[in-house]
Order: sequence, then C-alpha cells, then structure tokens
Amino acid sequence: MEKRMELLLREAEKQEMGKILDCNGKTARFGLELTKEETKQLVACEYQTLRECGRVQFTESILPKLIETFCDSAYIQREEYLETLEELQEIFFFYKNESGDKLSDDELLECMKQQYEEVCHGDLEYLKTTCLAEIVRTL
Amino acid sequence: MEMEMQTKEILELVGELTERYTSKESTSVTYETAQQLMGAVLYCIEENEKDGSGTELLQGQSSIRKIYEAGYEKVLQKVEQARILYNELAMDFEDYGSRALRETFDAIPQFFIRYDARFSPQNHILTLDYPVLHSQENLCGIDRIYAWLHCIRAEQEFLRSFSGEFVRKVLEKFHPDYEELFENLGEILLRKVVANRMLGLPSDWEILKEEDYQKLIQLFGELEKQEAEQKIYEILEGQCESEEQLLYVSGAIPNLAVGFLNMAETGNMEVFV
Repeated sequence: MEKRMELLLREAEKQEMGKILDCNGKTARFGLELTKEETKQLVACEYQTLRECGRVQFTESILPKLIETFCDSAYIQREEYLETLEELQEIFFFYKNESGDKLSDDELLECMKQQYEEVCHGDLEYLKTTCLAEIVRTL
Repeated sequence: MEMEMQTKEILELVGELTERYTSKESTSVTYETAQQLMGAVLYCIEENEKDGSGTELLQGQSSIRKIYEAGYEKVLQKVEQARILYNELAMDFEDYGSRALRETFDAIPQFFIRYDARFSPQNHILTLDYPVLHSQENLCGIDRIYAWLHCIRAEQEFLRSFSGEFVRKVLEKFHPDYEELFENLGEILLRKVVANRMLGLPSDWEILKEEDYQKLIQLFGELEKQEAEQKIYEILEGQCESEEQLLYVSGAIPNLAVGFLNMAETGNMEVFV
C-alpha cells in the first residue's frame, strides 16, 4: 500500500510540470513567468507541503489554478513570484486541512484571493495567521 | 513491466474514485482518505480474485478496470446475499437471553444502512462483539459480516437441535449471569455435549454425578492433546446435522480439548462442565 502511494505521487508529479509551464502563456501579460527550473522548484515545494500536511494529489495539481487565480494581483512582482507561489500553496494546503475539507478548492482559492487583495493587501503572513484562521473558525 | 502497468491502472482508478469522492471539488485529499480509497479499489479487485477470476489478471486477459468493476459487482451481490441471510435468521432467531448475541444481531441492519461499497467496502462498521467460533480477524468489510452471519446460522441450527430449556439450564450452570457475559453460547453447550457423549450418555443429559466427573477426569487423563481433539471431533461429527454445522463447531475443538485436559489434570471437572 505504501509503495503504491509513493508511485502515485511520482506519477502525478511528472504530469504536473507541463501544465504549470503552460500557465506562462496566460501570466506573461502580467509580467509573471516561471522558468523550467523554477517550475521544478515549485513542484518540489508543493510535494514537500503535501507530505507535511499529510495530503495526496491524484489526477491534477492545484498549482495551475492557484497561478491563474493570483496572476492578476498587483501585489505580486516578478522578483518574488516563485516565493509568493510557494507560500500561497503552503497556505492553501494548510487551510484545506484546517477546514476539514469543508471548503472546495475553488471556494478556498476565492476566499484566499479576496482576503489577499482586500484585507491583507499582499501580506501573506497576515493572510495565513489571521484572516483565513478567522474564516475557517466560523465554518 | 506488467506489474508496472497494473500499478498504473490501479492508480488511475484511485484517482477517478477520488474525483467521485470529492465530486471534483478538490484536487487533493488527506492521506487517510487516499488510503481508504486505495483500500476500496484493492478490496474489490481481491473480491473478484476470491472465486478464481483473478487468474485472468495474472494472464493479462482482463484490464484492472474490468476486474475492479466485476469485484465491485460481487461486493454488491454479497451484500444482498447477506441481507437475505440476515432476514432468514431474524425470522426465528433465539438469543437464549444473551445480551451480547441479541445486541450484536440487532445491530446488523445498521451495517446495511451505512455500508459504502464504492468508497469504503473494506469497512465493516460494526464491532461484532458477540464472539463466534471462527476467528474473523483476517476478514473485513462485507466478507466479515457475511462470515459472521454464516457462523450465527450454523450456531443457531446447532443450538436448536436441543430444547431451549436444556440450553438455558446448561448456560445457567455455566454462570448464573451468563446473559451479561460475552461468551459464545455454542461453546458452552459443546462442553456439556462432549462430556455427556464421553460418558456414553445422551447429548442432552442434564445432571452429572460425582462419579461421572471422576470418570471424565480418568478418560481425559489418558489422552494427549491431539487424541483429545480427535475424540472430540468424532463426537461432534456424530452430533452435527450438516457439514456447515460441523465445520462451525469444529472451531471450538482446540479450546475444548485444552479445557478438558486441564480440568482432568487439576481434578476440577465440575467447574468446566
């Protein structure tokens, strides 16, 4: 069982790279792009987070959706694009667990984006420690 | 290579099952949920292999998907068969006052209501507190419930081959509060039956005298464990009315043999029978 779970993770990882690189086509107009090396780093980071959060991703990754949701934010700059995405995906999985999976991916992303833009004004620490925590508490 | 392909197919199935589980609203699930869903797929595949259909898998004649779906159908069929068996048993079910037996049996409908053949077929939901004579430890899901019901059917038939009054007297002699104990009723009755038959008495003979106990001590004192087991088996063979009954009560033979031999050694046969 454990070995099969590991294989499952590796299989999904392979497919993910291509889909994330495809996002560059949509994000380029906002001045945001990931290199192949950065994409690899982001995927590795995502899998690290998944392991730490005790979660498994099967058919597709959340990263393309995360990228599309946040790419038009005025608070994200090219220089810290990768770092921001890494933190956002960490926050995403953390709150998937915290919400007991009561929020769908879309609902959580929408909530994160709205708080990030309107309440936190790009402050990821505030988003993680305060805003989302309060929302999840009310679920 | 073949194994790799099979694993890949299994993973695809788990992925699809996850999508159904989350209604496509979540791309990830907790590790526990993933294990549950992986277990669900493997359970159905193994269910199909139980009747020999699994050879197709080894020969590469069927895709894993087909085997999984066939296994899933078999799980559903087994649930239906278990439901029919339960309803048949319920018509003249007798608990002889045992609370554990009554409550465990009465809880079975909850299994049919809550059992999830698609997402968690390996979960039997109930703890099945009333012990039967065959270990269910290696079974799970519907297999465990179905096997337990088969055991109960064999046990009910065995108990019913004696008068209710006799059974209750034997149980009361075993313990005045037997109703509250988590003990198998069949095994208690079997002690009495084996003792009676060893003494050449009818199976439902009620009162044993001091000299009867002494004779049992002498008879079992002469036997090795294996001989005692063989002797008990022969007695049960003569007592049981069907193969299913014999197979079931045979599960008590090791305990009975050890019990009689210990009592013969310590001279406490009256406590045991």
